[in-house]
Amino acid sequence: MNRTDFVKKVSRQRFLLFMIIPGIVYFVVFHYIPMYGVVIAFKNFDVFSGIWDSPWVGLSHFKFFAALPYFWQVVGNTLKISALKIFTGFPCPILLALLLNELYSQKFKKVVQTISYLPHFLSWIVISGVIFQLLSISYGFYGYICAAFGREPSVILSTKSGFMSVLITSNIWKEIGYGSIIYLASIAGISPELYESAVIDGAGRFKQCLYITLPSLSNIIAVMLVLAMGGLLSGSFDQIFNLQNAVILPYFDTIDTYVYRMGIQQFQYSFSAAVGLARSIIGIILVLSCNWVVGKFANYTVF
Amino acid sequence: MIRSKGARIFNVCNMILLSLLSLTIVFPFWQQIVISVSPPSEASTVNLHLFTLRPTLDAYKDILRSGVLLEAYAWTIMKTAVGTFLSVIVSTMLAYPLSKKYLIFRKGWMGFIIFTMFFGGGLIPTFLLVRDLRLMNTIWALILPGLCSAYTVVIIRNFFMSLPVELEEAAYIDGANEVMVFFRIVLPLSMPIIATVSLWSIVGSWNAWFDALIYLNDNKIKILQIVLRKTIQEAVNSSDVLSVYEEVATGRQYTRESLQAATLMAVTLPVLITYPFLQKYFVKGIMIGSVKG
Repeated sequence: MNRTDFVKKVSRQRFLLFMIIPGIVYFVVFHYIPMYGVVIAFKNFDVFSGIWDSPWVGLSHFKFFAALPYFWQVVGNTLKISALKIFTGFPCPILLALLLNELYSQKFKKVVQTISYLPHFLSWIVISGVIFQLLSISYGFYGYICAAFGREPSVILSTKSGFMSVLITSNIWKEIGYGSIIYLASIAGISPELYESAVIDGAGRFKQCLYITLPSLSNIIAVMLVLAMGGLLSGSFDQIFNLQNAVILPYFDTIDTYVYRMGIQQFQYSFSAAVGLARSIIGIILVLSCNWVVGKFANYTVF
Repeated sequence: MIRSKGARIFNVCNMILLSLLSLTIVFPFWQQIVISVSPPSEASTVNLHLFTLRPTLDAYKDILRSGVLLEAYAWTIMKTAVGTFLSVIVSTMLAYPLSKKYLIFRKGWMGFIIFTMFFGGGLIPTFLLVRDLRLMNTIWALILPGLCSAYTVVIIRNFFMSLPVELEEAAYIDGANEVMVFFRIVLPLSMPIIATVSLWSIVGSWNAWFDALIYLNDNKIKILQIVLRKTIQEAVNSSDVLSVYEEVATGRQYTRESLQAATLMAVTLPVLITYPFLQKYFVKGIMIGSVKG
């Protein structure tokens, strides 16, 4: 294509090219400039000199946090919480979708679906208010149950195992309904002929579920698992930040809450940016390797 | 349909189990409603809070009288409305050209946008950018940084690509220009996806709080979620007074639990009321999103 052709093409597409300007400008300013801003991880950022003029320090921030025992504790916390949340939270929506699928009454199914999607649409601030009330000793359901059984109530959110159980349970509770939508849609797409032939072969509902529904869902389950693995290093900020207290903080300080505390509250911009950068790079590697593993064993890739 | 005995038993157990699941969601919110209308003598006692014999709207009157909540409502509605409006316009304008296979540098533009799905500057560089742009303590700090996402743009683009090309071709033959085709043909046909994306944006904006926490620090702009967060956190740290409602609460008898529950309901009610009617659009949106483009 020569020059005049190109100019002609541009001029013919001027309306389309004009339309993308605001969006491209937005992505440059609010996505690509912060990407450039990541260089402060390799500098000693000074508020007065700005990003450009701050002195380079190479990998010293990375070396510093890598030598920090507390940093590794934070990494351990993050992995432990995410792994437990994925392990418990991932199968639940699949199970719910299977149970909803077995219902005969469509009306009942609709009601359960509508109710179970609801918590997904509320913020963790609202949910934290509900949780604090439920677990309150003085006016909550927990206090009521303890009083009814004559047990001495304790502050659940101040113990390590108590806080972890609350994280896991509330995570399942909030996302089980919404997470089931994608599986229900896949189940609806399974060819009825498969079930008909299974019935002729003498399979009951349980066998149909085991040998037809679940295998048909394997691709979408693999995709969702890859996406969930991508969030292994993040994803719990809203939940933990709104539920945490000083007593359990060291055990539930995750990379995200750590970056927030060090960067926004204690103004250690370069240090926090370095931690954040390390996290996103490992996050990308995680997603790509999960994708590779699933591609290798389930013969299906997301990207 | 003939069902075996085992199938009937399973069905009953299944219905009981799913009813219990629904109950765990309805019950806590019902408790919040009951506590918010309970008189002081009941709200803060060990109780199931399933009903109250002497309902009172005092807590709601108190939080409305304080002015903080109304102000927060105004700011929150404003940022949600402006943010959603701008977000839909910018995303749609970006998505339409990208849906055309003959667009110059189409692959390049797409790669440029999709890359942001995988890598971003992260919290600190974004925070510094917002500060350098002098957006701190303005409503724009809550609107601009998250205005549109690669995901939304791709979903709208996929929808545009699914529209039949013949419609646009016919319009061109009839003498329409590109502007007319976009506004008269493409946009009216795209209302389902625009409704879905708007709803996502509205819910996201209504529930957003972290941006307000880090970008607003002079207490001039008030956001509902932050007001709620303050009342909840103060109650947890068991300080006696709720500073958010200090001016109405001092010198009167009030119940912290009721005020907190009433605030929670004030933030949640708009979602609870509209949600059952809008639910199907969200579900539809997920289906659209799951189509690979």
